[in-house]
Amino acid sequence: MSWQVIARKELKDSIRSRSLIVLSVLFVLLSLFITGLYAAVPFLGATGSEELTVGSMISFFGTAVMFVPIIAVLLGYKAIVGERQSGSLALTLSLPHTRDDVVLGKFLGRSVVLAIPILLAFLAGLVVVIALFDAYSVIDYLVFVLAVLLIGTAYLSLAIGFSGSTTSSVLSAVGVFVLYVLFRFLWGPGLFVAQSAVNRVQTGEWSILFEFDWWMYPIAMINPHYAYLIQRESPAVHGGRESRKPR
Amino acid sequence: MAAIELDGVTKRYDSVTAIRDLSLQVEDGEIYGFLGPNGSGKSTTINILLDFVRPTDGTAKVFGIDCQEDPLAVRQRIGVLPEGFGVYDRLTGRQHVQFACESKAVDADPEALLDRVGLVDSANRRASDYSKGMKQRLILAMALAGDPDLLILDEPTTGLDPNGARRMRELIEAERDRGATVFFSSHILAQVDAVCDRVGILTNGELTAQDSIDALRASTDSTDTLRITVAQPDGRALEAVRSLAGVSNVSTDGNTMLVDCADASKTAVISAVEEAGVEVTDFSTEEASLEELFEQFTTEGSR
Repeated sequence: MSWQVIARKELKDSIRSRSLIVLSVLFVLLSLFITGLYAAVPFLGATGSEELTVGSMISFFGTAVMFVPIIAVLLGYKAIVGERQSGSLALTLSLPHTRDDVVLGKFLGRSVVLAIPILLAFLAGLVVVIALFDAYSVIDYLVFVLAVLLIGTAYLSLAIGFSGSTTSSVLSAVGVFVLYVLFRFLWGPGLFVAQSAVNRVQTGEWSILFEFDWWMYPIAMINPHYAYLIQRESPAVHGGRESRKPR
Repeated sequence: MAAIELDGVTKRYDSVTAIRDLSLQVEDGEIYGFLGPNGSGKSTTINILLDFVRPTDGTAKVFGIDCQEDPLAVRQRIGVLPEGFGVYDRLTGRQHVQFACESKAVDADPEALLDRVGLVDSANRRASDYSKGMKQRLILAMALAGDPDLLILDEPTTGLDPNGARRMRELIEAERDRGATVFFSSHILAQVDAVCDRVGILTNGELTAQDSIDALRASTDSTDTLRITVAQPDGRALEAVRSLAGVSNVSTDGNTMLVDCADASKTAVISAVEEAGVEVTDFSTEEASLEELFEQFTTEGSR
């Protein structure tokens, strides 16, 4: 299959990239630091409970994980437009590949590239968890890692989408950045405004409610951050002890 | 079956017509030089063959396969040196060629392909560190992967030193001898007449001439220069030559008479000199350069 050839090429191309190696090392160090810090200073977890649990650690981890989308964007925003500007896309497309193959191959190849530092980091973190924590659930931990990979690949696909639809890498970068700001900072307030407006229509008065109607959830889930948070706060992961205020 | 068949191909952009009603046929097994000044529509034509550009009108076929309907089948059978190509920055030369082999699903030896273009010693270096000429040879090695039936080379000699251009020419001839068709574009003509079976000249998006180089030369009213070395130049002989039909200019340079004349008048010139009682010790012909021919066709076309 043609996209497999492209994905393999992407992987080979990126695996020799110095930035990937630097990224992996940084991720591992950060992961060790955060896990170690959490183990050493438990109140930072701010769960109120005395015990060290993977669940509360994950919520502590959550903020730091928010830079994964940024890495994904950096990995993706030039994926296609960069090749277009350098002329290597002409080379790729002069071989028997469709444009779809190129997009899919790039996405899959770079997803693996994104996954490598993340997995290395969490593997290092897992070692600390096993060493320092009395009670832990490997399943919880793995589900959390999977969620991190998913939000990363969600942003990667957005970035590659932009990079395939513009003729300038600057435009592509601006596009993904705008989307990031929208999802990260404006989506939540937007949802509250929408819910408040609906409440106003229904009850005839303005009221501040932090409860969403059922139909808000699918809308919220369009945003990769929310999809991630909802997963993270689901009872399956840590018993629903968290406040549900989105970050 | 024709290797390339263009039928009434027109490509219009908003205000510019890049190609106008272009029809041409490249026969299986020939080397076809696609000539024209920069901006005449050569690359647009090639991009239509690769389905990078869709024609406004007309059809383009490679080995009878419509380039717009089934571009993958076309690209499976061709090797391409695209215009303005770039290499994959972090891949080595060998990985580039491997990628081409995998893309075409052919089981070719990257080593042998790199050897053909003289890059085997640099196979494990990153291609981004290659010189411009080396990059070009690398892409050529990729194009040769899987012994394609047709090679499409956009400006293959640009940026090559004379030695590199000679190798390119030998390679093109070797591919033709293997049975491949070669279609290449160029705006530099020095290499062309030595290697092409036929040329087409494109001017402002229109094919203004198409024939073998010799036939093109014969069809123009361009003049050759005849250099006649004589024992002793003589005014009577000069007059006799001047009065001949087809002679445009006569001058002397020591013992040499320089006669600008049409190809057909050469014999008459020599006999006129001899009849005037002047001994001819040697003579040679300087053919009109291809550049002059080219200029003649392209300026006529743009009128």
